[in-house]
Amino acid sequence: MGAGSHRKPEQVRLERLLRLIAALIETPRFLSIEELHQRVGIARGVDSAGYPENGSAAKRAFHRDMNQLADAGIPVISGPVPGQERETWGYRIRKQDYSLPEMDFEADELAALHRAATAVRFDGVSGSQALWKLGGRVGEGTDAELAAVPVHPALADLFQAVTEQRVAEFAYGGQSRSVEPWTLAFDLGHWYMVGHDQARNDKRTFRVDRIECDVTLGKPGGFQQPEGTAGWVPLQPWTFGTGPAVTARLRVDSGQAVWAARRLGQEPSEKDSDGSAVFEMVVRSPDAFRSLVLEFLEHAEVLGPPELRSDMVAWLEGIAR
Amino acid sequence: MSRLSAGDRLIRMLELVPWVMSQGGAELSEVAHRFDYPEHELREDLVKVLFVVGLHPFTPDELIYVMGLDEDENGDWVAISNADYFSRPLRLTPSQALGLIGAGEALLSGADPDGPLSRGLAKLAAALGVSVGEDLAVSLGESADEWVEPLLAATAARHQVQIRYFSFGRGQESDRVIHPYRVFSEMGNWYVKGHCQQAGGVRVFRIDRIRSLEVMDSVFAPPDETGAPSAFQARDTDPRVVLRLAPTALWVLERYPTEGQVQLDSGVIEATLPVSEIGRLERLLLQLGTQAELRHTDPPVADDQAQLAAQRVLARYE
Repeated sequence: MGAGSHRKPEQVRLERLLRLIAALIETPRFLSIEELHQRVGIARGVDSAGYPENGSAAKRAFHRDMNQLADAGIPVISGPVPGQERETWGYRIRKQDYSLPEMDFEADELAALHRAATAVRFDGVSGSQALWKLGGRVGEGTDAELAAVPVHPALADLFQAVTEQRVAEFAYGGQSRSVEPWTLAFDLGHWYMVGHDQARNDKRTFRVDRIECDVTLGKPGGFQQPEGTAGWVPLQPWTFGTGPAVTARLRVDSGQAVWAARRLGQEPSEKDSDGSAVFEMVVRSPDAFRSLVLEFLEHAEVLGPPELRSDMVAWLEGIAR
Repeated sequence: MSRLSAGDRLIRMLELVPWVMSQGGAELSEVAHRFDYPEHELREDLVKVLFVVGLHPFTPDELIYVMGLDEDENGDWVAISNADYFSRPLRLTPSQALGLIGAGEALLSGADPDGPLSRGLAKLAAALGVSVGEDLAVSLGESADEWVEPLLAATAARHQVQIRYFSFGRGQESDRVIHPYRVFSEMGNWYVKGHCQQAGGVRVFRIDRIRSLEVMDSVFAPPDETGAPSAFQARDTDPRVVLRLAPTALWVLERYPTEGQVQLDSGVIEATLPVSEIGRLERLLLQLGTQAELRHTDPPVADDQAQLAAQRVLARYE
């Protein structure tokens, strides 16, 4: 068994890349480009892996390799090479950056994750590549995709910001924001980020697809999340708004009461003998509340407070004229 | 099959080497299947490439040991050692972690809390320092989990199901027998697409509007084609309406499928929408109020559709 002959160009290149990664991992300090060339080897003939002898060709080949490693998600870091008279820049891979933590999955657990990854597809994210890292694909997955989840360019950065407590800076609504991100949520077909807006000193919810530029991340552990703030409350647009909170009372006819309870995510506070039901709910956005009530057409009626009831009447009269 | 690029080979090799090392050796065919690596290319790359990878100065004791295979197609079991630097898989990128944890999280609500998905997801999230449900919440649909699982099972086994279904457009319930072809989630709601015996054609039902459901013993023949699932499937016979939308009403274009849009001056857009039921149109017109104007319908409905609906609702407030 040996190196053999007739290797394809991609195999020669694979050998050089693997040698380069091994050299970068197996060093306790930053290595200069020249040192890496030496440790990977000099190519002698088309079938031999290594860098060209010519210095500038070798440098170009090296930088092409570094781009390839970056594309593969390999965390190469750079820094000064110690013991040099002239400051020299070098490279290395730290094992703790490179390695996946130990997880020790059972076969049925890997198969379940495989099925999940094929059933719920995140656009542009390869579920297979993640599964290879966990020990390869196990089981058959599923043919029937249940959902395709859209992915925004900022999403992976925000996820990293949430899990590593990094402050995220971005432009939103024409203004620059510094946010301590607490939760990332996919609800009703859109991605949202909930966090503490530093300039406004308050909790805010952002639509991720409306973020106007790349997200800049601060250092890990850049903030501490207050207790009890984690998690996601399903979207109820009528509870969002800048107006004062009022408690609205809504009557829904018997035929639609069950469906109203599902829509509102709550049980009625009263049930009448004719089967109709009264729901009490907190409203901060009168516009969103009106749209909700109109979903039921003539099968629902705003009982109070008077300002919400007269708002509905005025709106309808504006149309009925 | 097309040849793998150097980048594909690199990624797969960095993942399969740690796995083979952790197993103390494996069947070549299993490695090829797990890592989607054509078997003859895998054999070649192990024998011709990995075998000569190592550390400077590349003396035999510095090279990776690849045992069990040779170039002449002998051996179908492989072991790898002397490669400590490749003994762990590469960490997940943030988008890979997001995709895998998000997919698991999305399916967790209907899953057995002691089942393989829950256990696997817990291990994955703990190792990556992610709090499922706190750092990341993925909802594919609210309040209808009870029907998603039986419908998925009926779809797989091709069992007909009987449902009592609430049509929001018509505001009434009806009993139907459907052949569930496909279950899917779109814009935060679960749907089942299938042939409906009462309607005599393929329909899409929102699962959270199913009041009761019974899986029947009778099976159905698989459909000729299921097509891409979509919550809104306009039929040729559905009326088309043209709405003139003010700039403040353009969210309609995001929420409803349109068949053509014309940009007018000052940010106003005329959009053509298919409308399967008159109730849907009325609801939309009342919600939009003066921000929308009904320009044209085919076939015609009353010009004053919005006014009539508004008067009906107003009657409740007299």
